Amino acid sequence: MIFSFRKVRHFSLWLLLLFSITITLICTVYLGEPKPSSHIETLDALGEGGLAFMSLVWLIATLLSRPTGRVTTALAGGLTLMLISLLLDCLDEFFTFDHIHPTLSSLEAFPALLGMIVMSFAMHWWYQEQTYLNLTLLKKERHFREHTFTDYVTGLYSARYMEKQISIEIEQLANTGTKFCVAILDLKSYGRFCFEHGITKGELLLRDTGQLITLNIRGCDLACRYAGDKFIVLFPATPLHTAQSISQRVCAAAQIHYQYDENLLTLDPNTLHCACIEVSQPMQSKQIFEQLITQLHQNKQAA
Amino acid sequence: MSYFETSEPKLSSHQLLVPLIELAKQRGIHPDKALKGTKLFYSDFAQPDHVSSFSQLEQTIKNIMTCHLGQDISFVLGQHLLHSICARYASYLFHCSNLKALLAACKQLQGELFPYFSVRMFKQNKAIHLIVNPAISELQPSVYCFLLEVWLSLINGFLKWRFENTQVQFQLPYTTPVYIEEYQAIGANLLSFGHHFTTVVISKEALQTRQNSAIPALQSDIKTLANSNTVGFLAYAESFLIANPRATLEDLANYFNTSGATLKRKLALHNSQFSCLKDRVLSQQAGFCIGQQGYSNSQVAKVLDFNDLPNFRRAIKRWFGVTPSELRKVRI
Repeated sequence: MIFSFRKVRHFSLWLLLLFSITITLICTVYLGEPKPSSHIETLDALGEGGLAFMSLVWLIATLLSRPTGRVTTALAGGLTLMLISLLLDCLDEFFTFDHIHPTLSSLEAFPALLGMIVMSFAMHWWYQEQTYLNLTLLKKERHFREHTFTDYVTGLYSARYMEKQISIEIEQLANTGTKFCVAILDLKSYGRFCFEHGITKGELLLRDTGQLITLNIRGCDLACRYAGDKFIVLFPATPLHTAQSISQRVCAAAQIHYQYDENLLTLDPNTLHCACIEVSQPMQSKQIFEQLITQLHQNKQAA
Repeated sequence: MSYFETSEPKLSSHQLLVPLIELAKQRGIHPDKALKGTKLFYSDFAQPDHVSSFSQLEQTIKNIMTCHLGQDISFVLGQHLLHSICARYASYLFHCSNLKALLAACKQLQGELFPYFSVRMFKQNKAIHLIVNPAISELQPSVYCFLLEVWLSLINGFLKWRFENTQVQFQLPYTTPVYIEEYQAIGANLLSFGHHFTTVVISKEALQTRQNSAIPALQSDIKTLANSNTVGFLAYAESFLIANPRATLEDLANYFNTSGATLKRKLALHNSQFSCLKDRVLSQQAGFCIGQQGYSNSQVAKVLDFNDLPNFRRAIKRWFGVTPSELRKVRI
């Protein structure tokens, strides 16, 4: 099996980075004259070398984490230019260029200046990109971002995130008296679905259901995965009848949602059980969850 | 009855190890990363009858836990295990007439269904208490918690499916976890935390609950299954200590057909010691006698073969951190 380097993500940017570092080192060693060891300032060299190393770490982290695109190219380009400057600044401690021209060493800051200009453009595009991304996260995120609370299966936030959001709503309820509603949605016969179609298909169903819920709630609402086949939706500043009506719409949408298998044969649509409560007095988020679970069990038995 | 050690490749990889790696892979973890330090390769699992050791499973669990893939992974794994067990042993389990018959079948199939834990039964007038212990090797608390969650998800999934509305109590030995909702989602309602041992309490009435759609005449004979009589190293040692509470290290070594020094080394390889093992066996018996049956100190000391009461009191204080009278007031 032949490994194709071209398939490596950001191949050209990695090549640019390698090329820049190599050229900088070769030019410095070839053109410069080594300084006598008595002229080398160790602390200065360590500090400047450390700066160059840290900028290289940032650059590698950027290339490893970001997807291909204009923002990444600009970020990597800017950081590479800054790295060249910092590297020259460090090598300056070991080599002298006075025999070519006494002011040549003063030019080492210019790549960094150019790099910062490029980075400024990159930051501007990054801001724009983030604004678009925030729009896609509407209904999945409110007030703050914390990746450790993300649920891997559905891409929604987890119960921990919802707990924090409910605490914010409860604070608001205590201060301004604004009531809010919370609903729990539970997939019917999820266990049987997994038994018939496997855990992988089951996790796909959970992911689809998460998307289905976010699609059918309002922009100000927040959907999170609670646990297992249960989802929680927060309806801020919403009367109970509105929250119930939105929950019913989500359940209706679930009834006409189909899963497809490899041969495009439709699998049974799964329906949702739901329970909704209005929070009109301050209480712990755990109590709210308990009330919801109890009501959900009652609704299931009644059905 | 025979036993297997933690490093012996005796466990079917396709029961828990492969599904665990597949689940991690689905969540973006490369199988090589999950298998790091196990001397196993993903390609090995292409053999349908591949076997691996418990230490390899333990290492994989540790590797996957460091990746923080979400708290639900153990519960999903338990659900998967439920499906694979039901597919394989349906004829043995689905036609047990009631919960009592199912427990008897599970006891015989213990080595096949979930060989990582052993179960010790205590009977009371109103209920039976099943104490769950590690069967092969002592585990790190996080790995023990992970396996316990897999087991809870498996048990509750089965109960929810075949014994709807049956109330079973689960007492767990750790503090209430932050992700308690995962426990609620599997339908484990009667849960309590902070106990000394992992215990399942089933009332006598619940034992008579009939299994949904069971036809006892269709139940397969468990004796036809081979290899169900092999247990883990710790379970094997414990079974001897339960039968012989006064046994010494030498007695246990004779039971294992080995020398005392070799047994000590083997116990160390299983993260255990003779004294710890004996303490656990005796403390569980003492906890049940005092906490559930209300025995007096002299009665319990007699059951546990203690020569004098001061010794017994000191042992209770060492095991539970409280005196026997205080133990009577708190839950075990």
